[in-house]
Parts: sequence; C-alpha cells; structure tokens
Amino acid sequence: MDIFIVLSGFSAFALFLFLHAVISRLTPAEAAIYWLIRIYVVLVIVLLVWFDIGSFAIYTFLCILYVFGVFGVIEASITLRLLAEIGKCGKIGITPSELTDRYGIDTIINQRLKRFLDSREIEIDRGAYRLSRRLSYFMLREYFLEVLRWMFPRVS
Amino acid sequence: MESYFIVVCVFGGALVTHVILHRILIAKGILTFRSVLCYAVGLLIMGTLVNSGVFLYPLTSLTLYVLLSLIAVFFYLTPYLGGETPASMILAALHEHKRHSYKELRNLFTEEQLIGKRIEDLLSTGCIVQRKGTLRVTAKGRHLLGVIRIYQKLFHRPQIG
Repeated sequence: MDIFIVLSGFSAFALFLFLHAVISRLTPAEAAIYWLIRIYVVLVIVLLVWFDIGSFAIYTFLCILYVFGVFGVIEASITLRLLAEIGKCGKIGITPSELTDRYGIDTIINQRLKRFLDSREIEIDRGAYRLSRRLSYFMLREYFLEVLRWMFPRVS
Repeated sequence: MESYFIVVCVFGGALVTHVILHRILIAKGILTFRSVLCYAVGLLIMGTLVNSGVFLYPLTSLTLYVLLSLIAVFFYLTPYLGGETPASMILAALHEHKRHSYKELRNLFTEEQLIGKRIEDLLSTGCIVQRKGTLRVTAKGRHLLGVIRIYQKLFHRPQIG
C-alpha cells in the first residue's frame, strides 16, 4: 500500500505534465495558468475519489514545485530572456545597447501589463491602469510573498 | 492519517525553528542560507521515527516530508534570488496609489535595475562573457539554453520573460 500511494502521487503528476504538454498546443499561451489549474483540479478529484490522501498531497506538492519553480520561473524570467537574446547572436555577440533595443524596459513592462489585462487583474480606466477587484493568481502570489517577507525579513 | 499528522508536526517544528533562527540571525545582521539545515535536522528526526516503526506508511511519510521541505526552501529563497520582480512592483504601485498612467509605471524602473543587474548576474555565473564590449554566450550558457529550449518545445511555450 505504501509504495502504491507514492507511485500514484508521482503518476498523477506525470499525467498532469502530459496533459499540460498536450493542452498547451491546443490553447492560447496566455491561458496556460488557468488550464494548469483545471488539470490540477480534475486529477485531484480522481485521486481523492480512488486513492489515498497521501497520493493527493504528494501530487499537490509536486505541482506546487513545478508551477512556482519551473513554469513560473521560465515564463517570467528576464534573466533567461536576456540569455536567449544573447544566444540568438551566436559567435558574433551583441552589445548591451543592442540588447536593450531588442528587449528593453518598454517590452518588459508591456508584457506584464498585457498579462495582467488578460487575466483581468488590472483594467484601464480613463487612460490609467488600476487594479480590478478580481482576486487572481498573481495577486494571491503577491499576498503569499508578503507573508514570506514577514516570516523571513531581510537585513535592515 | 496519524502518519501524516506526525509528518506535519515534524515539518512544522522545522519551519518554526527556521523562522526563529532566521530572525535571530537577521537581528544580528547575518544573512546565511545555511539556516535551511533545520529541514535536514527534521529529516534526521523523520529517519529515526521511520526506524522505530512509528509510521504506517514510512515511504509516503518520508516523501511528503522531503517535498514539504523542498517547497519551504524554494519559497524561502524566492525573495532573495528573484528580488523585487517588475510584476510585483507594478502591482504594489497600483495597490498603493490606485491609478497610474503608463508613464508613471515606466518611471518605477531604470535600465540598470532591470537589465544591467541581470547582465552582471549572467556574467558572474559564467553563462555569458563580455569581450571588446560584446556579450557572448559561454558553453555553460548554451547548455542552460538547450534545457530551456527542450522545455519550450515540450510544453509549447514560445516566449520567455
């Protein structure tokens, strides 16, 4: 039973990744996070109905590590994007000013604003941006990070 | 269910110890990531409990403890490694001042803060080199890019950053 619980948790996570890979080919890139949540919920129901709560916990923790540690990092990392842009130039290389022409402050801010507008986290009101009342993934993440900063304060 | 309760208690103990230890060290002006060793101590306690036959599901209990610890270490390191992200700065600014024009939001950032610091990080980690004012990817950087490209193809994520 013990090994079965662990295997079912890891298998559910493997299925989660497989469905993520398939569905991301069929849906718009901006909707990825919402599809990840849907896939997660469906598999949670399966695990809780047919398996043990231990399988559910293992699966959930693996999903958390994947979403925040891999998906979120690659999706939003400015450092990795800079590395990719430098990589595109191969042996010729690129000067820092050419690099910022390709991927500068405006691109970075516009991408984030677009992401927030798509998720209806923010809205445009008379030419200015403002937070909408909707509680979303990004806002929850910010609240969570605030708790973390309170728990683990930095050197003042 | 009792097994899982014990796992939560051992992990909770390690987490509380970590928070207290971190706060004591920070009050003395010391920032060290070695404080995460609290979770290794917790793992030793888990090992002792497994050997003494406390758990009905020893492998599941150990797996849960290890995963919980990995999550705790990851989130502990996030604010330090990731720093203040542009997304969180935009949300914080809108939260504080309610309304912002694009220009006001743009003025929150400088090129040095967003790009310069990250180029320095890439240089210091050996992923890129700078020769005669030109940036080039090293073998280490190419390997990292290779892994990212596999991920992008596998999960159909065309754009990063």
